[in-house]
Amino acid sequence: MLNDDSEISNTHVETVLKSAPKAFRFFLDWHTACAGCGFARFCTLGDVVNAYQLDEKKFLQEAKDLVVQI
Amino acid sequence: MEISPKDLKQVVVFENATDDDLVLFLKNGITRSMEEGGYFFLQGDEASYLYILTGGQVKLTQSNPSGQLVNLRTIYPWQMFGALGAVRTDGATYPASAQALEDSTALAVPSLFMRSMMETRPYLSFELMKLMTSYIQEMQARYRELATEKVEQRVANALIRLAGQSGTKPGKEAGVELSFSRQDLAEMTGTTLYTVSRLLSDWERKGIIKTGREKIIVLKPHDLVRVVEGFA
Repeated sequence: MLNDDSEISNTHVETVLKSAPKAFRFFLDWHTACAGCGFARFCTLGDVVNAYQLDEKKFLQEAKDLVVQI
Repeated sequence: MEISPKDLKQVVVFENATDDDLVLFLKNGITRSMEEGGYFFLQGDEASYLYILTGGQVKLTQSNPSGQLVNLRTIYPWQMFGALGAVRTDGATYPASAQALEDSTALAVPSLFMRSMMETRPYLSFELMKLMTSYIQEMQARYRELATEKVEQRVANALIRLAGQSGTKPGKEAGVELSFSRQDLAEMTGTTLYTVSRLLSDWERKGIIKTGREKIIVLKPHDLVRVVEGFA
């Protein structure tokens, strides 16, 4: 389901956070304020990449690995 | 280092001093050297000297009863510090500690001597008053910043929290919609309607939010997060 980069990019932060307990660690490691943020159910991973100017490829790949693992 | 009357002219309070007066200050002063990290005086010490920094750098800090430190200001060469003992006659103590940020030297002038000079030389009182008003103005600005910045962060925080609890996605429109009035927001954050309105107008002007009747649409969620983090 998450083979496509645009799909993971459009996934909401909350979905990733709920996918696994260690997803919190993932956002902390990337130094974002997403874990615990009220906007988690509105922001997509793509929004996060833009807001924090992250390495898109690496960030989305790590997120994909995380969600696929479950 | 030998200090000359000409050097002392660089001190704001001594701008209009005569050479004779400056010589008197030099005669009555003592040069004190302090290694990096040492203290010229501690908060609560009797304010028996005023200091003129002649080299190095000194920071003035004040601590609360539990030991938390606040940095009041940094002193650079030819600035005066610890002068309140010259003005106050009621056994004044220093309200702050003066710590050398690097190896420093200062001319220490007895507060009583400064007072006796001020009694006969109005220019000294006047210049000292000028210095003090500039300090008060600076402190007023800092107080204002502290007060307003804190409330800014509180209100932004409330919006983020509310978005998580009750935000909705308004149809095709971008953003997250929150339904409550400015008065609600003021009460939630312990501030006034006026302050909330001012902040919301400011954020609306920056394109972070859009306001409507009893509703707020957050257009740039991350910019609010930055306000909370103190970056905006």
